Amino acid sequence: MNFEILDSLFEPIVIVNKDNEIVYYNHMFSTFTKSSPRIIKNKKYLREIIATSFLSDMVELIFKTESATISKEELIDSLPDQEIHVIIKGAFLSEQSLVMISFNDITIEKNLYQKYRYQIDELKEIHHQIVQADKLSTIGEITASISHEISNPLTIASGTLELIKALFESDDLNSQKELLDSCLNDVIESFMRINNIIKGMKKFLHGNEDKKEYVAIEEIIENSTRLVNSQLKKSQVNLSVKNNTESNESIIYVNSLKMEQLFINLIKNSIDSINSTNGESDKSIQITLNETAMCYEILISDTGAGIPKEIQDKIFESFFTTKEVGEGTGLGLAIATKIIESYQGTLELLSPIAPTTFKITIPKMSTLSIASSTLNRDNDQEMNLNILVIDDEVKILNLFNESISSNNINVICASNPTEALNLIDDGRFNIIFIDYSMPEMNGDELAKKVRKLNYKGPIIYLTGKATDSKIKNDISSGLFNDHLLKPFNKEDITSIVKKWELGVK
Amino acid sequence: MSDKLVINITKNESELTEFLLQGQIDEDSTFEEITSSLKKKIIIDFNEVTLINSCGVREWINFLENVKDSTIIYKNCPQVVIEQINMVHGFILPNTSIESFYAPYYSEKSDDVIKVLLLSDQIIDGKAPRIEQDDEELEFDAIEAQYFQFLKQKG
Repeated sequence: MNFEILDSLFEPIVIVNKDNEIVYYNHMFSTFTKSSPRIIKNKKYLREIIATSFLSDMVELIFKTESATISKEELIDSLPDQEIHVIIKGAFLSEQSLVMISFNDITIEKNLYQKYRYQIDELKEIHHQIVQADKLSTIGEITASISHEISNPLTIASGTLELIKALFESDDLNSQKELLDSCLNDVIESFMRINNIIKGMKKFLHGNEDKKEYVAIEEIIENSTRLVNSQLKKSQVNLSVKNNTESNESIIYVNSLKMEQLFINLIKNSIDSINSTNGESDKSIQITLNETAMCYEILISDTGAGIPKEIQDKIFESFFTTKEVGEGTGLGLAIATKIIESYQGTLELLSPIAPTTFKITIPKMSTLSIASSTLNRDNDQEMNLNILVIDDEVKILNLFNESISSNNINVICASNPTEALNLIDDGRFNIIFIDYSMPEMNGDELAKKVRKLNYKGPIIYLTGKATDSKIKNDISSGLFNDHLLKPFNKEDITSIVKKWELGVK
Repeated sequence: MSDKLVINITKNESELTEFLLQGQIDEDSTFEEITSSLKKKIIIDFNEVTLINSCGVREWINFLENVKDSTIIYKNCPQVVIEQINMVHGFILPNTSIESFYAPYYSEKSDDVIKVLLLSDQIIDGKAPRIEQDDEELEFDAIEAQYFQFLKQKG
């Protein structure tokens, strides 16, 4: 072989014999190692030029195994004044009984990756700070009315405590026992109300914003309206929620705090808009929850002043506000858009005039959990277990997700049978967990449909109700393979997954 | 610590501007100082360039697109610059030429590598010129066929 042809390549290449002696090197090897021909000539062995054990070990291994090619990413720090990240490839030249080694310098790529990752982290931090500033501003604005909200139960509690004191001073305490109980309950209830208000505020400000969970839209709306309740009362705005979905729980996979922030921002805007009209007529906000096959749609309508045509294009931009200085940050809708887009949803202005209507669209849970699990997947690691969980209880779905979701276990959840059946189309699931009792159809009916789709893997019932004989019958008929008795915990889930991860034997 | 590129004007005449480049040419380098003072002839002094990576070469090639109407002369090109020019075509266009550059020579007496400034005209038939210093003939300390390859690039 004429090795001189290697000189025309831009990749450093060196050829060594069994004793690690350099037999040939191309021009780029000299540049790469910053070693002139004079230096290389004086040093007989490759290990004297690049003093790293992995290279010698690799050469040794290739000679030992006579394997065609070995490729490895390594850091070379033994060259003068430089640290180089390289992908080293070694090939055995059987005819000459030599090893050819090439070096692909990826230092720049590595450095750029580190640099841009650092910059992205910085941007993320800034974004987090902006979101936090918006929250603080929101809390600041509603604090005045919240203090009013707190003062009511506080008045009740202190008044009732006065009464309790008077009762204690009376001669016949025993005859007043019933009244005393009722008073104590009133005090406890008042403090609970105060506690709930403060807990809601604390959670809104300091909750974990990274954690995604299965949560019902109805619960998010309830929590959001609770936080702005005092403002609604103060402005005498009537807020009503209309649910046009089939179930009572429209479950999505999101961070509930971020979604609450989105709703609070929109409701606050509606209140401000209604207040700006100064009218005494209808003051109302209507939240309507609809569903399509793929998405949930939430309409937020108000009887406020509407949005003038000239600013309709600008309202979603950061720092755009029509409010007085100090009253708004101009970030509300920009942040709301960012939040909903991070869940592949949209926020749009449906009607700029009364009733002013914003529409939030968010994909249904199964779509979101697939997208999220795909994005989180580690590229280097092959996903090897796909698990489908069908249950209409949010807590169960979250328990599964937290217990077994990992780099190589992908948990996809569905809250109803229709959603689940849409997912079982390509045979990708290794294990399917089915809740035995669901409103739409029972677990055994769903299992039959799943089997009809030619799914041959294990199906496991989640049940607290099915009788022993029913379970026995369904297992012997091959409809399902096992069951997990409710209530269960993380360990129960892990061990049953372990039991069935290799499929049905 | 990043050694950000700084460009200073060292000579400004009616038809000629000379720039001195200091620091490293990388993905963050911009050359507005040069493009905003375009003259018929531009001399670029690389004497204080400490590093040029492949991203810097890409930026430089993009920059050359904007100065096609001027005659560009590179001078005092350090070894790092020459090595990149040899690796990436596009650094030398029909309107560019290298006036002078540094080349490594080995002194046995001091057992040290000395960077000697050479004029392109001194390279004949791809051979390194004879250099003497303190009564010692220095030995060219690179591969001639590779190091002087840039002189064959005509853009």
